[in-house]
Amino acid sequence: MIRLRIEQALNILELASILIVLATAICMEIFLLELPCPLCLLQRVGLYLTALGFLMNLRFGIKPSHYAMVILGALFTALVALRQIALHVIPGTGAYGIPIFGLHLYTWSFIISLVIIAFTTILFGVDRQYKGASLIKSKLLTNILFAALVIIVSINIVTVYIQCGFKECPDNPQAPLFKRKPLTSD
Amino acid sequence: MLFLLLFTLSSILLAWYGERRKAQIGYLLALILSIFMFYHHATDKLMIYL
Repeated sequence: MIRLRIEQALNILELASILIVLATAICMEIFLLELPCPLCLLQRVGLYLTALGFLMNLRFGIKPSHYAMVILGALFTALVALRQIALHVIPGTGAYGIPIFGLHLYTWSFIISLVIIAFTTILFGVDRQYKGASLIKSKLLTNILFAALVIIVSINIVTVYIQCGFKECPDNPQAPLFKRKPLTSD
Repeated sequence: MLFLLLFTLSSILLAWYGERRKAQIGYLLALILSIFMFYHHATDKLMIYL
């Protein structure tokens, strides 16, 4: 039985929520062919960086610099999501992707980033977590969470390579490379 | 985009391996690169293919 302090449990809870969101985005991409645009990919990178801050809290102990990494990552994600919302906010400009519970993924991304910022700022202010040992006793749990994030990022690298190669990703991505018809020569 | 993701992955792996300072530097580089890419997307001024 792993005994966790409340701050550690909340760190794990936030991290698990981010991993679920990222895994959902990857699943939608692979199974529903919801191809990500460059701004969508940048939002994912922001969430990866946010998750890295939480993971460093678990790996090296809770430190203010790790929380700063979380807040910076979430701020970046919110900024990119806001830009994408602004692109589609005018009526008639359409939207990108399918809505989930009535909101598009970039709107959800903005809401989630704001929740992470608010929640982390509250957590950041709890002084007692910085005193004494704040490392998690069980390395297994930390390793599982690290492995989950590494797997998600690796899958994303493969899908981005298939979609864009080494070039800049297109604004309106079409079907993946392996589904395109071969070019015919006259 | 591929290089940015590789940067991010290497930062995560460095943190997993136990290199805290190097992971934080990787994190900062990835964040700066992301901001450059975002700026490029928003303005089309930086003609870089990352």
